[in-house]
Amino acid sequence: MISSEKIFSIFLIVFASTSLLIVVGIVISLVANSYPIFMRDGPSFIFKSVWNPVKEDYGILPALLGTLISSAIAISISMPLAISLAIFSAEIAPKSIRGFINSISDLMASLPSVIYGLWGLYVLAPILNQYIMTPLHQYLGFIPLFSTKPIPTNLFTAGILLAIMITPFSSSIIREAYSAVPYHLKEAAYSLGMTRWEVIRTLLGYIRSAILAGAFLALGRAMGETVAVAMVVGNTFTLPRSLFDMGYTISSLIANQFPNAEAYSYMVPALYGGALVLFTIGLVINLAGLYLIRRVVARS
Amino acid sequence: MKAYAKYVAIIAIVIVAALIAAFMSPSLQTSVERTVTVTTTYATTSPATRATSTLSGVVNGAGATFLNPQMQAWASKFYELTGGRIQINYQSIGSGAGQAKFREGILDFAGSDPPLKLEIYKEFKEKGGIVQFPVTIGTIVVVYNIPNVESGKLKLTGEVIAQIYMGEIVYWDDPAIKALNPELNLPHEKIIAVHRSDGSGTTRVFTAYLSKVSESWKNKVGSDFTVEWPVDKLGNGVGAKGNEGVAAAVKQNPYSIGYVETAYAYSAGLKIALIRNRDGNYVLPTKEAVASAARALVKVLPRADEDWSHIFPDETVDPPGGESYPITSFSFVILRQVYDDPVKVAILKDFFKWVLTEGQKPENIVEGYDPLPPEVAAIGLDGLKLLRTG
Amino acid sequence: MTLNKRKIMDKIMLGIISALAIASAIPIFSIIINVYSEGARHITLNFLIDLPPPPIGGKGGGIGPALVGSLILISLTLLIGGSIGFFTGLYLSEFSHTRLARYTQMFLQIMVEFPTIIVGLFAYAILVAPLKRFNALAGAIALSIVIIPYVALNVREAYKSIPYTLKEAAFSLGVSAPIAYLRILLSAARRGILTALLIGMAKAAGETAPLLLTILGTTFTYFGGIDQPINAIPLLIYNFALSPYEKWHQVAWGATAVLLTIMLTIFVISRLMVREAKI
Repeated sequence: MISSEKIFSIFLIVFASTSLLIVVGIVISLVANSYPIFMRDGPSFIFKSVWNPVKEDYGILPALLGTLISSAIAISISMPLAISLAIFSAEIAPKSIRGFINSISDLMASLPSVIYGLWGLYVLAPILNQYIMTPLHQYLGFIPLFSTKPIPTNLFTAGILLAIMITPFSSSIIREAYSAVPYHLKEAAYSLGMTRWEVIRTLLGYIRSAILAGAFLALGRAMGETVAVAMVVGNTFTLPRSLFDMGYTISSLIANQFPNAEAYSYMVPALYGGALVLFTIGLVINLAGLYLIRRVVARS
Repeated sequence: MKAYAKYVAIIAIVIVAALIAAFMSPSLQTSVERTVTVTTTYATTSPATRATSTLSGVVNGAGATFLNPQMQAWASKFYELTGGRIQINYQSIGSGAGQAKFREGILDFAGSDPPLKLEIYKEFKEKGGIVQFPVTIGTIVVVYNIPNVESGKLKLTGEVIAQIYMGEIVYWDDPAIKALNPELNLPHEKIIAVHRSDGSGTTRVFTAYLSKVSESWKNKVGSDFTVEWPVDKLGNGVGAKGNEGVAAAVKQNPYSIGYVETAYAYSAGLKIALIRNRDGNYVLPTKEAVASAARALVKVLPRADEDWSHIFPDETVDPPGGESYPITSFSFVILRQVYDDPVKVAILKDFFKWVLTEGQKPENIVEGYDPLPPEVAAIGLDGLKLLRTG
Repeated sequence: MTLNKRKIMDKIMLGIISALAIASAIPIFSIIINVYSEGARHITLNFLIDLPPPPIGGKGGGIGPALVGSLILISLTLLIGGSIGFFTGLYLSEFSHTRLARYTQMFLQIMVEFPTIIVGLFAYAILVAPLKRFNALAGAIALSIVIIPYVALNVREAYKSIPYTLKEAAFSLGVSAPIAYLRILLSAARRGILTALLIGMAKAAGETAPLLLTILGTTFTYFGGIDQPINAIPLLIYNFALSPYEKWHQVAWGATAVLLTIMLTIFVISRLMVREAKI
């Protein structure tokens, strides 16, 4: 007679392996479905810029650049904000409102992306257009970065919206690492006569890898975000020449073009190819972040 | 223990309530009560007959965005007329997406600005065939934003429009445009050519028109839901999403030009250009101009079960007729001939019959759309007879 | 640097940090204020039950089918994704020494950051294309894949944080493993498990990308069967907000207000539960 223990552990193993099966299944699905376009065009498919369904010619470079540019904007703006939020919560704010601040941060992290997208489309985009993009274009338009006449929905808006969305993720990681710094290090720093800011700076250096880990994870999140970006990025297939160009990201390209892809012969593989590229980049960044987190945990 | 139990109880009650609400909802009740009495009459379509028929069910279609407001209005009216028994769900995902999903057999019907692509038509020939027919008329206007030129004053020809979008005409005061508009004071400003960034039936029809009137356009660019716009490479092109995106872009950018379905031009308050038709007259898309174009087209239109892709829109744009508006197109509904559910066949026949007859009456036509002449509606009515179970 | 300069620097930097911190919180307040000021006025009982209005003309104006659809999808997702996540989390906690557990843990952390549109593509390939129909089940499966890592990792934490003495005591009673884990230790871990399910519920209510390619959406149909298209609130918001019709924009704001209220409710409930956790 098989013991209920044995049955139970088999039961659990079955469930646990579903996650493995899902991930493997997705990877296989991506590779199998994108196979045709890679067979036909090779890696050039990733590096050329064309979306011509009439001639069945596809190249996802603009979408790839769009993903990278919007994520770059997002992470560069988000990191100072995330670090500040973390320090503010852990160090500066009075203890009584610390819980409130952390709750706000968690709420930001759990807000659905379609709500961010709606707000981004109707509130953020016009504000950015009026107060930041148009003045920058008017006065600094000679710099290539600002050379396109801004339309509210573009890569820049997408980048800023992403920055707002990903800040709570890296912030919570940094905040936890900061709070976990052994108190005697803080004591030592103060006893040397450092000001509060200098102590903070020292501790930040101490938790370098946590900050880096937070950055990687937030970056991965930014690259994979679909709906909020699709609502504000402009969805135009052009090679971006400036920050204010409308563009595509790989995920918004898939969201926009997949519905009509089956009308053509190579669009479905092209979109799966884009998905595979996105997945791969995201995986690399994600694994880097996880590795760094493991080092942080190991240290403490 | 007590505290959390309260929360669990609340959540559980909410879920159960939702499920109850769902099962109580009319749609679920009717789809459970579905009767297979397929004896509906086709001759009369009065509300009285509708109310006594016991036909009920759900049909799922999707496709053209242009057709959406009109289709929703029809579906809504039909829902009322049948007392909520027949639900025609139409989602506007774009003509291209509609045809793509239809090809995969995922939709009951598709809405599309251009008719079914030839390769998809051929695929279905072996699987029982399709019927496709116009349900409403759409016109595309060329809109412009030149500060001191009023609406209805700018005259353009197809060749000139093609040259603008090919980047061969760059400034508004180009000799070619001036020649057509000697009395206008055209500025020396670059023309910002706005086009669609998404796959669009509107683009398909517009580029079909350009291909017909300009051999150069036909060879260099061609016609499809999405094309590569030569003007983009020169940096004077702007892509916008949807008809409303193009309308907004033209409105916000001085010295721009664009193409939209007429309803959007009116709702955005844009200036509309006169276009020279085949007979040499400059026309706006008035009701008379549209009707004249539609009448001219009837002579060449195929049957509903035939392939339209070689005729439409490429042959039917720029029709003859002194008053005809050149960029007139139909919006189509595409159905399979064979369905495995007899109830669905009955519903589709019923609904589209209504659309092609009662639905074309003025009280059922949404503002910005034009009704079909009876000769054109007859194409669909004939085609519907081919629907069968199999 | 002189002491004074350092003191000034200290004040400046603390000021900047505080300003940036507050700046990063401004959006959430702006979102809440904007959503409720634009959308709250639409929320009536009819709005929650009625059919959506046609884009031009016509009457009515509600999100009934979408709301019911969302509730059904959430229930299905919790059933499928919640149970898979729960048992996976339990396995990870109690069998953490096995190789399967280590791999699963890593894969779950990868899954957390999956671009959700790719999950949608996968669900389309395995359920919509073969069935030849957009269907609710595909949407539920896609959502389940999204929530499994959250549920699993939280359940793992919940079970892991049970003091060892409690576990020893449970097993010393001589009951079988299933009963030990599912009856006895479950109540010790209940807060964490409930939190996990609430997180799953929140995600199932708010995620859009997994639904874009799988459920199509409906106009009139509240629920036609899990093998038929269905509507959902985030999908409705996405479609209506991007449409060109002003009337639909208004409905989108109203639906967003409803969704935000659901989210805030779930959030507050889970906060209250955590606060009560004083072991």
